[in-house]
Amino acid sequence: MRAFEPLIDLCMDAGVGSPELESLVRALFVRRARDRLIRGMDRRAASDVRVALATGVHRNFVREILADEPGTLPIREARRPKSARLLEAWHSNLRYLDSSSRPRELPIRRAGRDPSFAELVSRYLPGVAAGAALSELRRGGAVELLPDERVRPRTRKLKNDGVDAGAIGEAARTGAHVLQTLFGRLSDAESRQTCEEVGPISLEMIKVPLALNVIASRTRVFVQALRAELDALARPKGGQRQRARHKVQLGLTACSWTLHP
Amino acid sequence: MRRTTSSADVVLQGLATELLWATCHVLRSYGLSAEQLRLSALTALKARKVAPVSGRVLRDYRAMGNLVFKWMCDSSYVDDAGRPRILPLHGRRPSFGALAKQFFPGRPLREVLKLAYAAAEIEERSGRRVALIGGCTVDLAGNPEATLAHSVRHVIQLLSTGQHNFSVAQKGHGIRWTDRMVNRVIEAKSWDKVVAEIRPQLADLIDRTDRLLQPQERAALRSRQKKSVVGVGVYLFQEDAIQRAGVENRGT
Repeated sequence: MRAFEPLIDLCMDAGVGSPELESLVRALFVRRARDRLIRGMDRRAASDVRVALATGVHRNFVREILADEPGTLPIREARRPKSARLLEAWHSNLRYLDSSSRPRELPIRRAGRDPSFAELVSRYLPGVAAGAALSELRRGGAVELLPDERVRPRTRKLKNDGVDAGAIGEAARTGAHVLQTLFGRLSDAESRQTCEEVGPISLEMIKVPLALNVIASRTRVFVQALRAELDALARPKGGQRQRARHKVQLGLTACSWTLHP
Repeated sequence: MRRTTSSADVVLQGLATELLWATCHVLRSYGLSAEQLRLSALTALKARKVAPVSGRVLRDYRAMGNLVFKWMCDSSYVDDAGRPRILPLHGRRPSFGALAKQFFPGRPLREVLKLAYAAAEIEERSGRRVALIGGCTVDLAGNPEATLAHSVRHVIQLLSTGQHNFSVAQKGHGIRWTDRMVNRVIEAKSWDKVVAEIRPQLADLIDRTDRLLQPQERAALRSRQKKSVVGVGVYLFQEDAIQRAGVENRGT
């Protein structure tokens, strides 16, 4: 039951009521059952009756649900690609990183030969004024303006504007990946999907920001290194002709969590 | 070390020459003359012990590293987002003055600040305040003595690790210390990309090790038991002499 709690929180934030959620879940249940039955029947279509038996939903409703295939939520388009390019450079170009390879806080205007936000904008958003770029990035929650005319990067990507269809779609996909692994491991003792966990660790409130920073920093480095390693594995070897082979998608999701008593 | 065959002797002699050659080559680049090197070599050959100059040179940098570590990792020195606070120069904890007093007892604040601006990622802010804008790393590159002292520490630690491992292997028991190296030939144009990829991982490893060892050091400094310095030294290197590195131009 607890797996549904975050979903219910989200529905309440998005103004989705219980009857609407129930009908969505029922429809999803029916389609998922149909897909599973097809897989188990040498890809032959499963009859409405069979799906009704498997799900406990009346066959008339099953027919109705299956006749009306849903449009999945669109994958969020890469928004504001130019700003994204600037953020990517800020998080990866050695000139804009500190000794620990974290993106530096930058003064807005150039001071001597040191890097500045204005320089970053002129290199990665040519033709855009530093002030305009700053406003855009602040609106996207990616940077923070500090006293003394300095800018601190907060995230590598522009944040979502809030609970909208695209954002929910993204969160749902990530959530589905995590649940697929967790539940898959329950039913398949041989599952090779990884699930490692740290905690729960009881921590004084005053130390929570430090702990979250440590988690964020370790995760960022680990994920970045893993991405590079998997990219190298996925790349075709030089000179070899690519044969059409069956491919799957795989990945890793790392999330931290905090529980308040 | 046990001597086996004369051909092994020849190899050992060759390795000694190579090590001394590389050392002399680097020392000359720091401005030491051939005569100075000769005198140092003679002293080194005769003396059973030499003055621990490297540790002395690095003492202040180590203290600065500890100061920055506390600024980053002590909950009273970080803000609500877990980032190092901007500190007033003077006043009671949390202040830069309080940190300076703890890690540089008896030293004028002005002197500590000068070192902080030169070696750590610390910047002056309006209203007689200072900000830590980077990581825990202390930068020695602006000071030739400190840079060389740091290299000397690396070399001594590396040689003693190798010697220890050899000795354990000879005895057939004991725990080897860790000494790992990996190298590959890459195109020179890929160097920046490799640095960008590896640097965060090395910084992360050092940061994790520091956080693991720091509480143990606190306890050890209060203890009367035998103590030793332990640590991890990492560096990313580039070597143009491919043959000297023992890498042949074969497929992998």
